[in-house]
Amino acid sequence: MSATQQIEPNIDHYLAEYARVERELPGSDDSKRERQAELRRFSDAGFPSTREEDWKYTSLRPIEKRRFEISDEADTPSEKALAPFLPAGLDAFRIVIVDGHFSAVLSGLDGLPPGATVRSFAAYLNATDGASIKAREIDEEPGSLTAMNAAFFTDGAYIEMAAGTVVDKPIHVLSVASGARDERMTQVRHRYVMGENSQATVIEHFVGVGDNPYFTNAVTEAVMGRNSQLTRCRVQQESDKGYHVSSFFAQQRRDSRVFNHGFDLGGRLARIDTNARLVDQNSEVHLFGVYAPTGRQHIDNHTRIDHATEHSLSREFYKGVLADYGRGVFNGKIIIHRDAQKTDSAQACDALLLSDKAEVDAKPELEIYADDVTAAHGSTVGQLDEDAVFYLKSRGIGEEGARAILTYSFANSLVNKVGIPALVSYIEAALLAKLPGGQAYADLA
Amino acid sequence: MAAHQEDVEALVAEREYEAGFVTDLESDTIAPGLNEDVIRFISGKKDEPEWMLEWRLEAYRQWKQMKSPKWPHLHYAPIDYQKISYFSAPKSSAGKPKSLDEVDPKLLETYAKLGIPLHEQEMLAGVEGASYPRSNNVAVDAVFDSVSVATTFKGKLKDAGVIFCSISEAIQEHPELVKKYLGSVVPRGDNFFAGLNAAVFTDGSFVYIPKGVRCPMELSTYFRINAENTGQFERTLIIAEAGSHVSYLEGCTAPQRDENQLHAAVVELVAEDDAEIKYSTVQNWYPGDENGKGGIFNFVTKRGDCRGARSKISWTQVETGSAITWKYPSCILTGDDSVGEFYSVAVTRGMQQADTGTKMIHIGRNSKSTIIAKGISAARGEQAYRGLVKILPSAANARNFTQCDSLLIGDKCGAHTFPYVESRNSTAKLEHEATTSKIGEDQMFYCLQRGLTEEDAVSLIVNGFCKDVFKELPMEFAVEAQKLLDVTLENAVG
Repeated sequence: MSATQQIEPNIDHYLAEYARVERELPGSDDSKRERQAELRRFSDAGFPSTREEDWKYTSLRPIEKRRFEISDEADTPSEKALAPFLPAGLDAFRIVIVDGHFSAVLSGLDGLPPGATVRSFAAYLNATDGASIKAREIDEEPGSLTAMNAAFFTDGAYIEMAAGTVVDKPIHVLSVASGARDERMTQVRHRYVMGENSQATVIEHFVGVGDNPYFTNAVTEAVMGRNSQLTRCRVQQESDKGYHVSSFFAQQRRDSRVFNHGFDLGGRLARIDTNARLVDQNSEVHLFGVYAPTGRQHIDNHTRIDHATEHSLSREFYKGVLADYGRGVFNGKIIIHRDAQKTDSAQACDALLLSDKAEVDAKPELEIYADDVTAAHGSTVGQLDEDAVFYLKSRGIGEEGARAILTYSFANSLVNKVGIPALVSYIEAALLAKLPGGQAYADLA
Repeated sequence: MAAHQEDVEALVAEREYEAGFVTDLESDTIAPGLNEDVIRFISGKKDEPEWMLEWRLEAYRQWKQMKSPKWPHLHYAPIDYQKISYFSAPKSSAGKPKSLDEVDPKLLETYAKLGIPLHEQEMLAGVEGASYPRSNNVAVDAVFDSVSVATTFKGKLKDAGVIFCSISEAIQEHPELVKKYLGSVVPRGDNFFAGLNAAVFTDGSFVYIPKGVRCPMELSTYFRINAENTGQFERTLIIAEAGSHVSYLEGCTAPQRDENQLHAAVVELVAEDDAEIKYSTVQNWYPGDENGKGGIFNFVTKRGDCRGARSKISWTQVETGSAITWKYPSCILTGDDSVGEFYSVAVTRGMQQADTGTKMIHIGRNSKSTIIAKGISAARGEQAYRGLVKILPSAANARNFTQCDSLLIGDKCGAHTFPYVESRNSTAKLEHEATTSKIGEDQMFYCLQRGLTEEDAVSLIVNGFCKDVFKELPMEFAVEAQKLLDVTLENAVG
């Protein structure tokens, strides 16, 4: 409460920044009014503080004390700089956003099947009468950073699948922070509208290439029609100067399925909120996540699944590998609402602590208001099994290699679930590159 | 089968609170309100030394700066701390009775009615018609509203070197011990309710087990709230010196009243090298009626410090009463190889709410903790398990196992789990698991076709669910807890 009463010079900075860029922001006059309301929500609440339960383990001070600005234009990185972030052999449609601006040059959308729309969110807003900055179908949980995004976002991906459309190739949504200038912020907003019986796979990829500190604040909305299926692979590889905050909201109609895979490898500080609301029967959500904070990284995953009606299913598995001074936070909330009978939910979060300086804080929460349900959760924190290390050593594998094999295989089951071979190899390589002993593993393989 | 489910719920719906009577007794109660004068009055009434009064006043000053916690999963109207009377004592206890013969017969009657034997000679296992049978090998300290009325078996304990008396007496007789340990585990400014307790605590038990002594009998305190509009603020301090052992039991009841009464207690345990403290509670404060009218607000801070190497503190609790329970018996595992345990059964029915759990803070090397929490929620009860397991960098090879299970009876109740795990040592191993279920129709069917009545079947299943905790209770308490659970859930499940 006191946060709102204090004079917050940084909030003033963002009010001024909004005034500076408002004219350039996409959308009609009506949507500008929506943005202004969101800006007020943000300025009233300010940045969340660690006194709030949801932010107990993650302090946003490093973001708060800086004054980030919107990039007026993209500093398009060279192909060479971008090349390491394009998974080899990945056959995908590609939409690229650089510093919050759609880049037609880097994108490749030819050959989309009829019924599938993939375009710049800004272009969609400017071209569509009555388009709203927030998906009307989604009961979004208010959060001040999502409000900040709604006020400031410059672009993103707009994907719409007409009823019955199935896209067989993944859609690679690549958001690049050029880091070419100091203290820039990238506010991107994606919306995926899945019509009845449609199917799509989206690789939502965040990368940072430059040396300057920057801030990415992303929001993704998924409107899940009846019997639609969305596979979303979020790969977060911000630079080590990057601050990353992102939120995902899915609202699911009858028989719809969401498979969400999260890989958090980059960023100085990353906070990811993943929310799914199952509002209709027989809907399913599967959340998988791997986070690997090393060095001085701080990675915080918050998930929330609302079983709002009967007969729905959720599965959630998160694994963390923490080394050096890495700090990991996992908070998984499952709410089974009154009358959400026959809900079937299971959740597990495991963490592997590889260093005494690393820290993990886990909180798997259950809130249950219905009695005929199956709800279970489990959580473990531990280290490599010395017997297993010994076994591998007795087979002629060196100490480092043995530890690397066990460390990687801990995360491996969730990496494989992605199911796109080119992406699996890409994530595996990226994960090995940062885990201790990764080179030893690569040498063995 | 659906019909059967309703029967189950109907069975849980109503039961009488057996301890709900009021003892008509003249008592010395001060006017409601809280200020420094009230604290001076309490301190003066107890003839306390100056340092104790100062300690209380400092606590009060700290408390005034604090705010009531908002984070629990509990809903209640704000408590007006100026409307509570902070001291009430039966008039007859003005001059401390020298023997039980001098104790007001009405008081003795109250305890007899509750099944708490205060007569050392006459005690038999299981007082006729009482719901709290006790064997005669238990020393009892009986606390009535704000004062301790009697402590039994003092002589026998003295021979063993054990000090067991009310805390007021300890302040007079053993000030050096009280000064050394009071507030050393739960500091005055620890939390809102502990701060309030430190300022206005009226009585409670004091236990000191000297080096190497195994306490010859179980110690027990029985708390009873009787007077209207009063709060009970007791403070218990148990010190187990190196190599000693003690088992301590605690029970509580209150009359049936329409308004809420506040109970804010603090319990501090200190275990030195190789010492072991076993602390068992059966909490059966008046829970309010099925519409949530009346009942005790139970805000308790319980914490044990395993200071010594290889020390052990074990908390076992059966929580069936109170309109609101806010309670987290915790262990600070400072000593190397120290052990902390928490076993809990909590039942909420009617409109009861409970937010309970534990904290295990691992500091010493090889420290171990076990948490088994069983929650049963029926009717419109709301229950939350809230636990913290924290491993500090110094706690190499620390080990924790946590299991919390919830049983839901009826579709209007709630069961929630908020387990916090914080690990900062790479050699620590932590496990947590939680499940939520209801009484299965096939379980019921199996029992019924074997000839059990519905009530017996439910009782069997529920007792099986709680077995892991009950087996940790001392024998007499286990029987009592099982009975209590049966009456609590009587008419709850069918």
